[in-house]
Amino acid sequence: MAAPATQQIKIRCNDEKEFTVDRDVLERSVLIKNMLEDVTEQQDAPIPLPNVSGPVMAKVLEYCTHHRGEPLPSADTEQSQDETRKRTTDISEWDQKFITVDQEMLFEIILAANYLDIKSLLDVGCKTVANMIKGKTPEEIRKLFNIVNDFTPEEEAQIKKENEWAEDR
Amino acid sequence: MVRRLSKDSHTAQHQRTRKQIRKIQRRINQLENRLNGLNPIILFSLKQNPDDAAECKRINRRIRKLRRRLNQFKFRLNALALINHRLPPELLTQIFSLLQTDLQTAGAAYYRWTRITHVSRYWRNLAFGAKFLWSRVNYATAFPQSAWTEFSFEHSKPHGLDVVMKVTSVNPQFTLAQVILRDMSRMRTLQVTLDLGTKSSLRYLDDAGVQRLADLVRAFGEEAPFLEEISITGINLFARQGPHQNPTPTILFGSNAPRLTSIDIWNFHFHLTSMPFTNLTILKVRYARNTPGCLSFKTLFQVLLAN
Repeated sequence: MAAPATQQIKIRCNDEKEFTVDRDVLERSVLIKNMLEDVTEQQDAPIPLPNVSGPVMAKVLEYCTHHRGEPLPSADTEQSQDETRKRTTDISEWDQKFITVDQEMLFEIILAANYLDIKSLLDVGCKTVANMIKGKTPEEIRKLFNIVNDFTPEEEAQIKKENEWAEDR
Repeated sequence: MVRRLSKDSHTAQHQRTRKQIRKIQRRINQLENRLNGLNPIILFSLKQNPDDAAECKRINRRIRKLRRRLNQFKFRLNALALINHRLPPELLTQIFSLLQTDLQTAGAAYYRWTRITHVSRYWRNLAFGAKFLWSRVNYATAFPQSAWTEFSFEHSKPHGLDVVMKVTSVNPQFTLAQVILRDMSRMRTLQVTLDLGTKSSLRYLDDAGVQRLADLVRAFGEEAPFLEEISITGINLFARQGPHQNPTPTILFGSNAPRLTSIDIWNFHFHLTSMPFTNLTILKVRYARNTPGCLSFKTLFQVLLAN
């Protein structure tokens, strides 16, 4: 039987930062949801989350609180693959504002979403990175992510050829 | 890409690698300057000094070696770039996939997604290693980027295929299109548009062109065990009665398309009885004329209801 929505759960991050959160907010995370379902007795000890830091968890909880009550995406693998084939890089206005953070925080949010299994947040993070890349030249992408050109002369020659393929229109 | 480091050791390693790169680059510059000093002597002296020639050779060899080393350090530095260091490969390829999906309807610009393979060696290896990224094959006679299309088609093997094919020119040569369609056993989704413009433009379609189109369509007779969706937009030529009508196989997909759930046919003629209806949930038939000897739509619906 589902637990009351007001039940409070404690979590502890890898920097010892603790949060007390409504169960339905935390259950946006499939990982935590499964953990809670596995625990039969009421526990006072906080759930340890060794892969997430306090500041990142605060952002994740901000997202989960805003989206509480929304239906969770289907866990059906085949359907998920199909969705991957069809989805776009559109992001809602609130999510866009929420994810306007520096690159380091953005990657940490993506990692946390992946670890905590919050599909919709992972999607928002990945779409944001995709939108950052969209329409840019390789040189602009390198500049954006602090990447250097490490191609060998042979690879450069192949790339030049491939650029000609793309211009062959 | 690399073991995740603490912030401090990441910064330290980043600085060390940058320092190494600067050091190698300085050495290459020194050697190149030295080479430039020697080259005029070689170019202008009537009798080349054998010592200088040997020195030139030695320096060039050294520069090549240093450049290889420089590339290795640059590769290491890229491994430490925040995006590569933080995000695991499967998430990066997921991001690449989103870029690709976004360009799916971009026509000629579709293969622009491959720009990410020109960013760095790591991204290139990652993209080429992810077969699913190449499983979307776009082919259009209006922008025959056959090199990318062919690469995509070949590189995706044995992964399933999602094909978008658009034939918009009269009398096109589409050997590659035929090759792609013959691989029906890998097909997952197939969208074919035969849009040859106005009826008047069809006058320019010669018999050989009609034959080529008919050969293309004949591929629909092959077994398609993984096909889920098919959408075919045809031309009047194949919907009307006449010498070119009905080029499609009598038995669609060799009666083997168990996963087919959606059929969308527009302006095309099929033997409706041959359609694999077992798991069909969507059937759209528009302007598909009923020719003598073929099942009537009324009967078709009765058959569907009975199933």
